[in-house]
Amino acid sequence: MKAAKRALSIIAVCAVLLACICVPASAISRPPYNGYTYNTYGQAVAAPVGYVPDKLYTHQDMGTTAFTSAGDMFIYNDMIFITDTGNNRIVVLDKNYKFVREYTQFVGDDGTVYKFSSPKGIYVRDDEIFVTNARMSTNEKGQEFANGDVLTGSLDGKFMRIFTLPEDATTEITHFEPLNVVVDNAGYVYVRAYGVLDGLIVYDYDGNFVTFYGANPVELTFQLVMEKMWKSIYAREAADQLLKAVPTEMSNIFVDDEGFIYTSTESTSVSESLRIRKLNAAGDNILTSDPNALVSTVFGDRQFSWDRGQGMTTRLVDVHVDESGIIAALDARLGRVFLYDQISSLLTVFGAQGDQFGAVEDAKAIGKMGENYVVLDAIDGSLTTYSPTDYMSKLIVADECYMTGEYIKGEPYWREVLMYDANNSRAYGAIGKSLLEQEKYGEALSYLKIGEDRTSYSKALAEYRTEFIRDNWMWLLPLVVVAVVGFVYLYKLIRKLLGLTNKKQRIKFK
Amino acid sequence: MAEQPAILRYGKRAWEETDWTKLNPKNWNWKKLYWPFRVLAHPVQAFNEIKYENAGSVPLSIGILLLWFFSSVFQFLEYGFQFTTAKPELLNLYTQFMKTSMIIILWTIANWAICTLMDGEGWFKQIWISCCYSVMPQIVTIIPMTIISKVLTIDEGKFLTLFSTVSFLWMVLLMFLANTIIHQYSFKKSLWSMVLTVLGVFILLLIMVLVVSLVVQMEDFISTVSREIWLRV
Repeated sequence: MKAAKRALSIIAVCAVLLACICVPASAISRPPYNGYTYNTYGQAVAAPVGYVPDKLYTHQDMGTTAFTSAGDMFIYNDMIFITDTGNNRIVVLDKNYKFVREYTQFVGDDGTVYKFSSPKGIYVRDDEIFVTNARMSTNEKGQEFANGDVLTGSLDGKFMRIFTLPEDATTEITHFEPLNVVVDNAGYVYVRAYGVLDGLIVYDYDGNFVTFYGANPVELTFQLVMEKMWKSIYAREAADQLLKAVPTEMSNIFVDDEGFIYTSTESTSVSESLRIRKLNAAGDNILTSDPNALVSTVFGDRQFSWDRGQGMTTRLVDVHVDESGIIAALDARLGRVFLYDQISSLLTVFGAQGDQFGAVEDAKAIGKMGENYVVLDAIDGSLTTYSPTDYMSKLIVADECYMTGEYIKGEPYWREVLMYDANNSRAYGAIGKSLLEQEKYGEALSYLKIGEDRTSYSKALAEYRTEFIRDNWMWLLPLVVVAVVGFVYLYKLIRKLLGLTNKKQRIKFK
Repeated sequence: MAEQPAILRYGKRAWEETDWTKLNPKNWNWKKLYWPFRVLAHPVQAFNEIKYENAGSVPLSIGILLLWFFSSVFQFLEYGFQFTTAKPELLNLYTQFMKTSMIIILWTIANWAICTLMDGEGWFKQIWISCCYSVMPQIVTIIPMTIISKVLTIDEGKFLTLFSTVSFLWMVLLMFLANTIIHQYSFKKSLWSMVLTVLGVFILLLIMVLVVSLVVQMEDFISTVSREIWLRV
């Protein structure tokens, strides 16, 4: 009987364990990354996950042949254009990520064939496809060099325009390898080319070179000062051997709906607040930072880990800006996507580097399809889509209200954000501003304090102070009078105790 | 009978010569409480009385230093939110002590060391008391300022800046007057001795850093050796 009981209990335990193992993976699936954000002091704090991996689309899912090194991706009218650099083609997918067609060349009206050669960047505007070609060849010395161009064609593969090496450029370019191309609202074409440090190459509609635009600023570093000093001492020949102070190369460009050009820079030699820039017509950065932040803006990770002697510093390779102005910066080092709003404050971080579902091996490009973000993996051309969580959709609406100054409208959304993330200091600040607008000053003060919004706190305090005095002057005024009179009497009492009867008399110590 | 070690002899003598009746509150001279405030209003007379009429008090001066330290901690914790980024969890008592009381301690030592060489007439006790009493402007301003800062807006914060600047300059002026009167210096010589005292403070700091690092290395060495011995034996 006892043995039977024991056997039964063992079987029961085994059954429970088996049930634990056999629960379908999807039921307990979680993304291969943790949500986090940075607080006003620049410290990493835990936060809910903003975007979860939705689906992975490999070339089989798309219904096309394998990719050999994907170069770039652009989403236009729910169509996804991917350049397959290794196979010299452009793959077009529909909104269900199914293969529609591919381009390997544009054909001119006169029958001339413009074949693609290692196409990298892709951009589509007004049904015109822009694609950059490398056209590598070898010169007589055996050195490889590129004499690339930017081809444009219509959606049915008709050749339209060509942009070649700028002849009247002020700097000599011997190796012309265009990498990215965008077009602004005025029709100017901006090309980012390999090794061209003067900035983006700007062409007019007819393909004539106009100017260089928006180079990264050269920062004054200690090394630069030392180099300047040596240059003044050395002979001219030796001085020429020294490094030249040149702007850092950008890693990608993007143009938003309003026609502003955004650049990303992956190098660590540019200041962390300039890794993402929004350029005006003069080429100056107009991206502002959060006035309440206590630390300077950093695009990417503030704190980084070390892996086998290599610092996992952020390496931003692509930038995307959606219609509401939310900036997505793609970090290739750790496969992460950082979302910022227009005052450069971090909304969420998602994505990982690896070969799990939800992680990408070598993140190359980012786009937005509906409300999902799509990340392109350069290694196999696969697409990973990330869909927003409930928390994130609330946060996006709330942040949009905050950016447009509709604090009262945004308050319920921020309160919902607080339900998910009680540590979100911006939520407290935004609710505080809403309460300030509703003239609930006392309540606003406590919210603004947690939200670290010192300017609004000061405003709320001024109002609260006036209100307080107005309500309490009945006893405040006598209190002040009593305090002043009491102070005078205390002073006189002390003098009396010290034995000083008149004003001229001074205390004798001995 | 063998002669006792010097430290014992002097210790014994000091013990015997100390007037222990001073510890009895009945014998305390409560009038001395007036002098810190007298320094604020009539610094020249007050410092003269401290020098020639023994109007200063060492316990009182230590109390003033501690009060400065505590009020600076109070300021750190309670200053108006709109003016500061300090948070209670960022408070470091050691740093706060170094910023306040330690400066006076170092200043006194350096000033005594410099001014004995520069024909100064002040004793160590007089320098110590006068320096500590010179801190009074800070003590009478910090706490009211902290309380007022809680109800001022950012625009009105300029008054606070003015207030603290005045208080600091007042303190420096008192230090200068104390230095001049305690050592019976001329204006020029007093200024010169103060510049040298600043240098002396830096030298003291340097020596402190050296000693600390040496002690740390010694401690490391001894602990390593003792651990080795412990493990082998």
